[in-house]
Amino acid sequence: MSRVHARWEKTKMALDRLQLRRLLAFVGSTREDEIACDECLADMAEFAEAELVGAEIPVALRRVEEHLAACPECADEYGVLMEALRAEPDAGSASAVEED
Amino acid sequence: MNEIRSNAEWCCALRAGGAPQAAALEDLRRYLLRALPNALKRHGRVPDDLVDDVVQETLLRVLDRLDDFEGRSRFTTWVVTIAARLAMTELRRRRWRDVSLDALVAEDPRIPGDLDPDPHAGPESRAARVAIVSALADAFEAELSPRQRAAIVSELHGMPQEEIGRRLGISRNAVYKLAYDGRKKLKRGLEASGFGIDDLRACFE
Repeated sequence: MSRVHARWEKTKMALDRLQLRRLLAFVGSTREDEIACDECLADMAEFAEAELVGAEIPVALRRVEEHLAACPECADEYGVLMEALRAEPDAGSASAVEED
Repeated sequence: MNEIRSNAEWCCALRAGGAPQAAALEDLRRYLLRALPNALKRHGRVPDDLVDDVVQETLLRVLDRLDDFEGRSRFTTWVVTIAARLAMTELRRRRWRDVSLDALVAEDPRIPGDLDPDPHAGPESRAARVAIVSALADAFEAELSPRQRAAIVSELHGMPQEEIGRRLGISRNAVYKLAYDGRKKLKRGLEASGFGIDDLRACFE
């Protein structure tokens, strides 16, 4: 194994300090009842509308908030959703609340 | 958008087939073509063909999953959640398609148990920091499956879950659960070694 290759193998196996700190933060913030991405997606629209109007987040939706803090992919998608909603809040849809 | 529809009217039109369905789909298509490019701006240049493909795929999924819509939000908000996921998934796929997992993560990744993750925090707490990392490294090696180790380390290297899943042959949702189960094991491993959340905070925040 060349020295360059050996150094590369070592790099691949190791985490750097920043990654190690992120792992410790992830582990420290891990909860026993986290939802996964599909459950987050199922509740994301309702959560976004509540946040958009500054409403108090119902207890049932707080796990969405926690998932968004732990999952960068879902957080990115939530950001795209919020940009779209801020640009055009009603978008041709009556609100679900108005229909009740 | 030609008119304001209630959620029930959206669903009814899309289920009706024929002209009502075509009109509703056209309204959704125009809305998404207007909304998506702006909403995706912060993620860099987005190719037109990506937006067109995402809009088309979104409309197909909306028709396919209409029964999943429970009416807890505006219908269009629900539609955008589908479009946002499809768009970001495709953007990430294009950005990562040429990076192999093998090039990023060793077959059997390990945590360097003697690495001080925060050497500037002061020598007085160095022993505690290193003890925590050492316990974490032990739990990482003893408690996690190879797939859990690969998923967690790949995430820490910034690889998106879809790409990890593609390489492991599982869904993004399954990748999240795989890494989540791994994190829980690591947390329990640290607790078994006498380190709780307060110890982590004291050393690393």
